[in-house]
Amino acid sequence: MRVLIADDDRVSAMVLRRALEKLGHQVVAAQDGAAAWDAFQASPYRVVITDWMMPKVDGPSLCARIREREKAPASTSTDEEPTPYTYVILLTSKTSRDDWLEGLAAGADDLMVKPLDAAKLAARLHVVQRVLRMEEELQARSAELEEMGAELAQRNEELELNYNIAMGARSQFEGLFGGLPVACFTFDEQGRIQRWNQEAERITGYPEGLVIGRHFWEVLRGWHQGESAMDYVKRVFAGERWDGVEWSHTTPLGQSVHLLTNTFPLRDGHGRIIGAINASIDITERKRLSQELDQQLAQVRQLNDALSAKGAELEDRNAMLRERARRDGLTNLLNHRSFHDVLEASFAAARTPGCPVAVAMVDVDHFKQFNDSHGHPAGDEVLRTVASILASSVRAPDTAARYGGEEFAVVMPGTDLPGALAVAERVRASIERHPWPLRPVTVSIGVATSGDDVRTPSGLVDAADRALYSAKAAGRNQVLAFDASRVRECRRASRAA
Amino acid sequence: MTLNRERLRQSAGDDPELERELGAEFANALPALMERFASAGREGALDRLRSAAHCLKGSSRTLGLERVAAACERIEADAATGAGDNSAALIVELRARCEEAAAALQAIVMERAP
Repeated sequence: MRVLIADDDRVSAMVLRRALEKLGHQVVAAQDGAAAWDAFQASPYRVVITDWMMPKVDGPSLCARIREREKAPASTSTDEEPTPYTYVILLTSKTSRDDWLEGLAAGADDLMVKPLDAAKLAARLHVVQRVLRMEEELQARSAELEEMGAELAQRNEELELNYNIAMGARSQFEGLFGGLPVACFTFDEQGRIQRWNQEAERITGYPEGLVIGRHFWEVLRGWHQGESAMDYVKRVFAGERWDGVEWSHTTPLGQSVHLLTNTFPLRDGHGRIIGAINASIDITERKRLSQELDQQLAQVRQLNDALSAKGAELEDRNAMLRERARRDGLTNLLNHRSFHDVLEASFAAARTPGCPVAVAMVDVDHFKQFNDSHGHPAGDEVLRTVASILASSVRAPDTAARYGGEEFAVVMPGTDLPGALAVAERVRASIERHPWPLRPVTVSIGVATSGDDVRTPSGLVDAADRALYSAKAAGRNQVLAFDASRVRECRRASRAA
Repeated sequence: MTLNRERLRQSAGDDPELERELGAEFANALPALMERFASAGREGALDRLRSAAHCLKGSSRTLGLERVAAACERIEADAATGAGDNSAALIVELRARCEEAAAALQAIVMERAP
């Protein structure tokens, strides 16, 4: 160690110096206290051994100055090492308790009595070395602590910055959340409400202070309850999102509110789920309008159904009227006009080769006499009976009609002359066989088919009519077919005449 | 005892050469030191007298010069009273003790001389 010694007694200084050098220390000797202070200021020493009584600056004063210098604030330069501690031993011939206390109060670490005991000095210097080593370790620790302190301060600054950023973001979130026009609340993994915004207060009727920390299903009675609610919470915290859940809530004042709700998890910057949010809009008005609309639509449907029913009824009536218009009022057979409609259609079909159409004209024999003898009602009854027999005697594709007065007509599509004559004969025979109550009734029938000589519907009727007259002229109650050759002869005769 | 040899041996750390050097140093310093006493005594400068007595007391104790040390102690005590009434006589006594001590040390120096 470098040791500064101060003693105005040269002999004592020599003894001390030699003893220190023997112990391996480097010694600088000052002849008094003032010189020692100068030397110390020029280059601080870790160990100073000084005599007590010296002119100008005595040992305690030197001690005090050294301690003052240690207390002085370090230079502002950060590179400068802190002032090391100086271990000061006072040498004195004083032995009183007060003197020693005075020396220690002045800043001495130790006192030794003169004359110097070299062995004691060596032991004391061991202590000095130990103390200074500890002091150096403390200084190193202190430096480390300062470095750690600086690092902590920097960390703290960063934390404060992050905290301020987080608080700013939180403040923004709170402002946004609180002012949302949607009823929102957040909840934790246990389903306990954490935040509750103003719209939630307005819609549910519960102020924030009453709901924070409570399970949300305890507040919102219309929501799933019990295990179902907890299962819902677990699924949301597992990452599920629930959209468009419709439910009803009853406010403390008993008002029913319909809500449409989305629930989804809230995540932090790393995607970790840190909570969940439930956002609801009030669809009460929409629901009411929808119900009204449904009611109105139901009414419209009812009206529509009624209209449809009426329409069908009308259609039926129209069909019935159309059918009535087609039929003869007395016999219920097709009337004259409808007969021609059927004939036209059958004639159009008869243009297909090998598919002729036949017509039979049927006339009740001596009907005028019958009317005159038995009256018109009986005549009408005869007509109804003839019509009935006629309708039941023709084949399925044939159409019977009342042509006018006591004359009837039958259209037989796809029927050649022999077929038509067979049908006509069956009709005639049926009428003849009928047990007429007043007197026998017979009919005369003229039959014609379409072909080279008959090419139009009116021509066909005309031909059948001619055959009918022929049957009448031949004595009635018989069937005759239209004979085209006779017609041609008659025409030639009339031309010759 | 004019010279406590054991004390001197202890102070020199069993180093005869240092004993000799210490003796020589004491002898060399003695005239100037005595002059400090004389002038302080003449001028009645009790502080200086006391300081010189304290300094010499330390040296003489280190060297085992017990009588010199005792004489110094008396001067120091006399000066401490603030009167210094006996200082002249005490300085005379000190001079005598110092001469005895110088002779004793000289003997050591001589016996140790090569």
